[in-house]
Amino acid sequence: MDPVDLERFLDRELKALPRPDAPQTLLPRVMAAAVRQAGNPSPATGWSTWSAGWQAAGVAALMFVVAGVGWLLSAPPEPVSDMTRTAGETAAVMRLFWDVLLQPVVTYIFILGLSLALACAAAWAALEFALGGATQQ
Amino acid sequence: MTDVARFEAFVREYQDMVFATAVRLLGRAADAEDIAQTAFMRAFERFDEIGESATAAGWLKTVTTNLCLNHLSRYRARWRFFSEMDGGRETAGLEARVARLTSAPEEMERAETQERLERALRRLPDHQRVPLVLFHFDEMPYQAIADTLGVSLAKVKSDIHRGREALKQELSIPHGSR
Repeated sequence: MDPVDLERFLDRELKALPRPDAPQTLLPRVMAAAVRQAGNPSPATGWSTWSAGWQAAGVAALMFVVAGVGWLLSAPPEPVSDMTRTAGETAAVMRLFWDVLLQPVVTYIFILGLSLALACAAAWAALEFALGGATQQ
Repeated sequence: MTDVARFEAFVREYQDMVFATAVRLLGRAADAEDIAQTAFMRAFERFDEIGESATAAGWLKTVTTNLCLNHLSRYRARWRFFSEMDGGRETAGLEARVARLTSAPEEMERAETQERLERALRRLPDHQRVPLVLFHFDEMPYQAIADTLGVSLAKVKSDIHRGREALKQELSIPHGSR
């Protein structure tokens, strides 16, 4: 049998195969997952699609966050003021570290990293070419 | 009818098609069931758009195919290992179906041939089975298969040819017949 005949023969035989039935466990599994998901809405589905309970919980959480931020901004307590001061000092030290040590050599590091990446890409492409795509399966 | 009831009817309508697509691409019923569930959950997330759409079947088939290809590329090594372990169990359902459906001797013979073909198809290595299934069941041209799988056109043709030869041997087709 030549390749064309074989292709035709197998095409006919494969298309004539009975379609495998889904196992009886699939429907209950999917429905259980769907019911679970309907009860626990994903944030990706949008607030308007959530159930009333989840919408109320979402509004309450948002109001709590807004009230907390407002309180912190209007009258920050002592620990928060200390943290702000410490953060400012840390930022000043980091800036000094950057100016003195990192900034002079950052260009060279970037060029070195880029060269290494390009060399790796070239080596990979050469390897793939040499193996004739066999690594892709 | 509630959304859940509508979705259940939707799953009932398409579950065989989705499962068949997955099991032929993956070769393993357990993985195919997982993929089918994931595909239906994607549909559930967009059920307002998809539920009544005339393109629902095509959408589901495309999602299932993509999920299977991702699955194969992610879990290839593990898949090969386990497929060798439980190859016998996978075919038990096929044999039961053949026994259930057949009565007359010629029907029995035909069903046995089909069973051997289905089993041989599932036993092919994934790099041969996947392009073969995409070509014969999904009627994708060679170039589209190469683009989908991210391999060269020559490799697709060679893998499909080797897959067909393996199926031919499995079906014991003599040289020069037909």
